[in-house]
Amino acid sequence: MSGPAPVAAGLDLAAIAAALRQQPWIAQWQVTQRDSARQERYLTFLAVESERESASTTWTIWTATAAVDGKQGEASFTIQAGEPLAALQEALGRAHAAAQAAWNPAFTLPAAGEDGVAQATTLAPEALADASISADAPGAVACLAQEFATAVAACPWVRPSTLEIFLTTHDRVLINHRGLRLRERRTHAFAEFVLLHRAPGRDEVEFYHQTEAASLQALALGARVARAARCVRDGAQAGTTVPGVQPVVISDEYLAKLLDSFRAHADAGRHASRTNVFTLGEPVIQRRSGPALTVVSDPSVTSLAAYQFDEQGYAPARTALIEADRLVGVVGPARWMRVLGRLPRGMAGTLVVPAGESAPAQLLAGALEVVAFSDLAARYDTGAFSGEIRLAYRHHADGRVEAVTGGSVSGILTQALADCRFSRDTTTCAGYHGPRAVRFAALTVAC
Amino acid sequence: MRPTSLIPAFVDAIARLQERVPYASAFARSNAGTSARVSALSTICQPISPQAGFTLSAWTGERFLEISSDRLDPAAVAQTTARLLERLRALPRPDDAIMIDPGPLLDRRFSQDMQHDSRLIPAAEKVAFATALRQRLLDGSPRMIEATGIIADVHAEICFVNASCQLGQELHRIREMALGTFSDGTHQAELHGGFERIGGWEHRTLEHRFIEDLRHDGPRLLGAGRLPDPGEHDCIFSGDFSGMFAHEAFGHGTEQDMFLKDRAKGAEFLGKPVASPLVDMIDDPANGWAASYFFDDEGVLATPTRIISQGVLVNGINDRYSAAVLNRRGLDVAKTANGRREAYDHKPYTRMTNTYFARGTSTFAEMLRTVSHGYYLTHPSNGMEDPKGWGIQLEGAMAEEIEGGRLTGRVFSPVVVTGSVPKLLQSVSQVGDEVVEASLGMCGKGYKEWVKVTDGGPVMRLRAVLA
Repeated sequence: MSGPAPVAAGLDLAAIAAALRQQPWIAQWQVTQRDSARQERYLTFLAVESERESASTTWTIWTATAAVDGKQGEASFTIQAGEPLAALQEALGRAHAAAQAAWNPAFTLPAAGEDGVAQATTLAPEALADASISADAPGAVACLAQEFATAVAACPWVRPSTLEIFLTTHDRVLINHRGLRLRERRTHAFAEFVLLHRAPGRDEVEFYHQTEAASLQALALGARVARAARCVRDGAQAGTTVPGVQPVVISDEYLAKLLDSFRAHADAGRHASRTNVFTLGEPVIQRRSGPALTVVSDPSVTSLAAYQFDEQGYAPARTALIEADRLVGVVGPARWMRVLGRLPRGMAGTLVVPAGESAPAQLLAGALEVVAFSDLAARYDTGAFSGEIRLAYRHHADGRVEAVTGGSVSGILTQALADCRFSRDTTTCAGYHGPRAVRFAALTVAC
Repeated sequence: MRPTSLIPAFVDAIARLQERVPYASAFARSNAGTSARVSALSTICQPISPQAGFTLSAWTGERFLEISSDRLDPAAVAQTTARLLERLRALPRPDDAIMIDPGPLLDRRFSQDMQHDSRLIPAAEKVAFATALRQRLLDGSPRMIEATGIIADVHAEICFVNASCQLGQELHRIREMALGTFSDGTHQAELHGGFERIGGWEHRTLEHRFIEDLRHDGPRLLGAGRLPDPGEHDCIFSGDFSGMFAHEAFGHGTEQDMFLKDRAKGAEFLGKPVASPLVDMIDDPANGWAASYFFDDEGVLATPTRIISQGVLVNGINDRYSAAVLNRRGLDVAKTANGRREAYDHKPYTRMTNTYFARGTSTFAEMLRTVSHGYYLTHPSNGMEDPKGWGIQLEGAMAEEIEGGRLTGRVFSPVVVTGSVPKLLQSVSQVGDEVVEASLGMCGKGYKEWVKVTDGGPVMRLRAVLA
């Protein structure tokens, strides 16, 4: 396989565009073609249980009527490859009826050359796509499976329960009635695995890990397996978490998920609908100690949230969201930016947070370092978060480190950040690039 | 084309594939329906994504090969069959093949009833209903600063074919939801509610209890803090909170594909007590709740599975592969109808359907009277299971204080329950006499592979660690 399958006979972008131009009720339109091809492999105790492959092509079509009194009727729908032109015509008939029922604030789709609109490839192709995946996905799957087996073999105390590998190539083409035509290729590598270990006289325990990235290199499967192997060995001998209010260190994907709530606080749609929790210029943190928080949206910084152009064709643009602990920027779809009287600057991209100043030892001293939660996310409305502790390390003042499990960590994000310290080492995971870890001075640990 | 129109092509494909492998099957699905969503800022009325396509599966005796196509036409079936055969030729035939039972001979078509076919309702009427739902929430709710009304109809046509069976089903349901945003000028809170029902437009209503619950409970969350005394407490779970507990506790814990991977401690406890004798738990894809179907995505006809009976873990749920392997290992595993795919191009796993605790004999008032200090937990939001370690996390939007056998009116938000599954289940001391269906649920396998589920239960009294 070498990338997504060609567009099926029948409909194609040109035929769809021609059909849209013939509809007298359509004043604006946009078509997004998505081709994707995926290879999957599932292993149980290193034996292949299942292999899958799939490919698909869809066109998502957005239409709008001419504006009347500042409002336009809108409708969108998705049609698949293999459908005949008659299916498109039927869908357009239904879209016409839907547009007559769905009136929204009018806005105009962008044209090539307008301020902020993507013109061609902005980022280097390798920032979004790994050629080893798009050129030979089955070969890349085999390489990852071998990397997993090698890493597991180096940790003879573990049993490799499961491995699931998904490698996908996505091609996206966007065209609109104003002549915009943009193309992007991206790849997605996903792996989920579980390692087992039994300590003498104890129940067997597992360590679950899921990771995703745009490239095989960023996936770093072997290194993740090695870390998971150490965790499962420690987890098998873990003691009980000690309750109380205490310093807690949270890192990697959990830190990324917590800070991701600032993406929602800066969402243009939230502000346009006046359901935002914080207003622009308002402090989001009542700082007690430590350096102020800065959060930037930057779709040109490599992560799964990076892009060449957003849903309507706007180019990646850096937008400061939080500066000196205050909400200073909003970001989101062009239509809501216009409602707010702002120029569209693309959808939110990679959430970038500057590195902190603390070395790992400084962060961990005397703290509970949680390396695996059942789940952890902050509520948008209150900032409250809670997570069950699957595995943590208690770093005693005398230097001893003790693995513990059970109980939960909870807090309010904006209060917790008021006296936190970030690590000087950084990480990229999901749509986040920033400090690898944070130390919260006082979170509630309950058992 | 409709999925069932491909049955002749699938029959041919399976005959060709089974010249090479011991078991082959075909699954096809297409979705239809419309979602209308109205908020202050926008009105959206759009079809749901069709996600139409099919998968051909070949079982070699030791592994599955599957290829999916998004084209519902006989030519695509022929091309996919050829591609699958080409890949199979590259694989050795296993010496010691595990056989998968194709099940009994069946040739049936099923359809869920709709009194009013929601596919025929004009877009304008759907938007008008979502608008009215939004207004119903806002009227007389001074602290509700924004509301979103949603009405959606979801239709799936599915077919499954193997050497024994040719099955088709049409599933229809309607989803009504609302989201309220509340503010007192200082604090903000969000709360959502709604329901899903099998059937059509006849189920829409502006008088459902969830609307009043949102209007009543949303303002109570404003400024609500975390629990002042985190730790182990007497609790009463609302019926929908019990449902989430059932789903996370011994729903995931008895998915038998996890048994194959040595990821479920429940495997060691079949036939043994894991809960209070007051506890009965069932998974039933045929009980008429919103996740119901006639057959699963592997062509197994839907029947209920009693998972816990009077506190004893008696059965797991499974897919065809898990059942085949476990029976090969000498376990006497009953086949259940729980092989489900997120979409036509996803792998089938063992998945729950409508999972619930059965009703008991106590009333809420009787339970309340017995609690000297504790909390009443409502508005469940999300949960996570750990079938290997039997840890659990349940989160909800509201815990109301109980003092001296009465609700005090003080609420805390959010609330999280953690602890050991059997310890929680064994602490159940009273079970309510009415089962509530929580019908909006979706379930992930770990953190992906989302399928429609419901859960439910009666109010339950137990002890739990809260924070």
